[in-house]
Amino acid sequence: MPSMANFNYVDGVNPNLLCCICRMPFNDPFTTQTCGHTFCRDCILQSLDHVYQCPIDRQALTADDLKPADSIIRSLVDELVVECTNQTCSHICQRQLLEQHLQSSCPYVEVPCPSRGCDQIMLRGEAVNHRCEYSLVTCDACDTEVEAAQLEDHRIQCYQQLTTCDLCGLQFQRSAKSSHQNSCPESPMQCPQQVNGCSWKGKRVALHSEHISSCPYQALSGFFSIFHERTQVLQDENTVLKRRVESLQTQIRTIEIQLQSASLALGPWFRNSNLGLSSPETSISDTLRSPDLPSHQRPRLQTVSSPRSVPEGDAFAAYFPPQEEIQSYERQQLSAMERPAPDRHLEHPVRSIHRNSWSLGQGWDALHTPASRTSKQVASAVAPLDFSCTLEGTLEGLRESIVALSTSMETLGRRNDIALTNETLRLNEELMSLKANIHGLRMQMHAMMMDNAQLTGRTDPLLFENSFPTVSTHRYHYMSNTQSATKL
Amino acid sequence: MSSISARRLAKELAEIHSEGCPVGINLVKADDFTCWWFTIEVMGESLYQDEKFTLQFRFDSGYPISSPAVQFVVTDGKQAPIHPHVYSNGHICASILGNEWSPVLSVVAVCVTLQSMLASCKEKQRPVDNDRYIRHAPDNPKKTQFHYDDDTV
Repeated sequence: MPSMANFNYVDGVNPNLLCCICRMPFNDPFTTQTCGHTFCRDCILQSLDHVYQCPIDRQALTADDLKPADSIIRSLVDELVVECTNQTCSHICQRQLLEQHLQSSCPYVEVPCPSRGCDQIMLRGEAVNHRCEYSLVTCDACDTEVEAAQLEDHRIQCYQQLTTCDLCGLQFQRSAKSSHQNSCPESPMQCPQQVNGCSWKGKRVALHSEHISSCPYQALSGFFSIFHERTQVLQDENTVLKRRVESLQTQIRTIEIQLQSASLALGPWFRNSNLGLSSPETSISDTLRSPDLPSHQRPRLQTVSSPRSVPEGDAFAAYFPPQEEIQSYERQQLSAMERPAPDRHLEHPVRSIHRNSWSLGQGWDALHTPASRTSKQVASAVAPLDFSCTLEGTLEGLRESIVALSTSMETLGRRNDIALTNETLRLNEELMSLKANIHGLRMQMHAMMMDNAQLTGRTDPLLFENSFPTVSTHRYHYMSNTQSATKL
Repeated sequence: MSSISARRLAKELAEIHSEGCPVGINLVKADDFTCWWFTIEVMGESLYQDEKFTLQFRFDSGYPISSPAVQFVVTDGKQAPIHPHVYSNGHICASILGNEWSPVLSVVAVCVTLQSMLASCKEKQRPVDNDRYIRHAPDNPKKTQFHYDDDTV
């Protein structure tokens, strides 16, 4: 029995099951009753030979304080899986079963020769086939078992004795037994074509005299040999092909995985580009659900050649849901903007202001409400991506859309600038006329007050000062005028 | 050499290789299971700043029940640290290497203990009986019966 320290544990062992002294899983664990520490029996006994204290906490300890560890600990370490201690043996089992394995079944354990009288030592696995002078062999003549060393002597006697064949009754010496068995006419035989399906059985004498000449399989023996050869070739080819199919299947599986990841990365374009390859017309008509897609297709192709010359109303219609209201608005606005005459630009916003004749804020709102509506539509509407197109085509389309959008943004900005300038000019003019009016009113008021003062003969210094044009800004005039008006 | 000590040392060596030594301690050689060398230096502020010492462990077949023979290497230009418990021949007067050795201690644990012994040193000086001791000191420090009087260091 090899030393217990030579166990090779198959799995990692819980560190709590390691003995602190040998650092291996407990072997025959014992626990100290004084401090509750557990060690291998051999380890702690050796340590106690050295010094009478617990190796962990140095408490006084004698062999009497040791008791076998709890059965739960014993089971835990006994059930650890170990390799067989014979390195050539690949057997693994629970530690507690290893001894049994070594005693009875491990083929690499050295055992004495099983033959009585032989003192040779050999591996158990080899013992079965071991032949020594003591191992029993069967005499071929009389079927009795004799030791190998005595076989020769036995044969000399045995061979001289006469024996009778059980089948044909012929008497011969035992030495001729084996040759007789090969020629006894009565011995049971099978047709040599048995491998090819002949089921004939009979005596040797009948085989050669009757059967062979009439056996249909024997007649076909030439065919069978050719057939066997061919089958062999086919079988070989089959194995080669099987292997090839297996490798191809593996390749296909890897390709499938790659394809899946690629399709995942490509998203909706993967399927469509695939369909597009087979039949572009159907794939487009399949995926065309939104009615504005064809109109999108057309301007997108046009913008490729000259993005700036595109009728932008159509381009916008492609990007926003087909609401006639918005489209018409856009067309109207853009066509107005695109007219080359600069006086139209000036005239149009002014006219709208005059027509509406609201306050300034309202007019500004009215100017911008449709624009803010369209911007809301941009945010809410999903850009109509053309999944029927290839990824590159869609990207190209999107890029063109952005170009078109930036162009329209530019025009919009320019238009707003012009509108703002016009509005400011008009407001300035109005302000000026209002100022003039106010000035006139103030002068009138002043004259009235002077007349009044002369009539009553009293002067109000505050009123006089405020109303006198000592301060030059119009704004102040206006304010003071209001004050005096309130006082009046 | 019995297989228990060899297996225990093999296990300790495997742990050193897999988990590494503590800071300041490095394995120099462990070619067999009889003699290992470590370098040891004191980290942080101490009297032994920027000094590196070499420790020698010698194991017998009784390891880990019996303690390893541990000393500083003083050959090949190597020096033992000047410490009240370290003789100039490299022998160390430390209780855990003598009667307080416990089989649960390991090589790395001894290194760490000696590292902290050096780190806590207050004054660099040789043991008072240094000259007398090295005149008659045996080759193996385990054969010396040290008298452990100071447990402050």
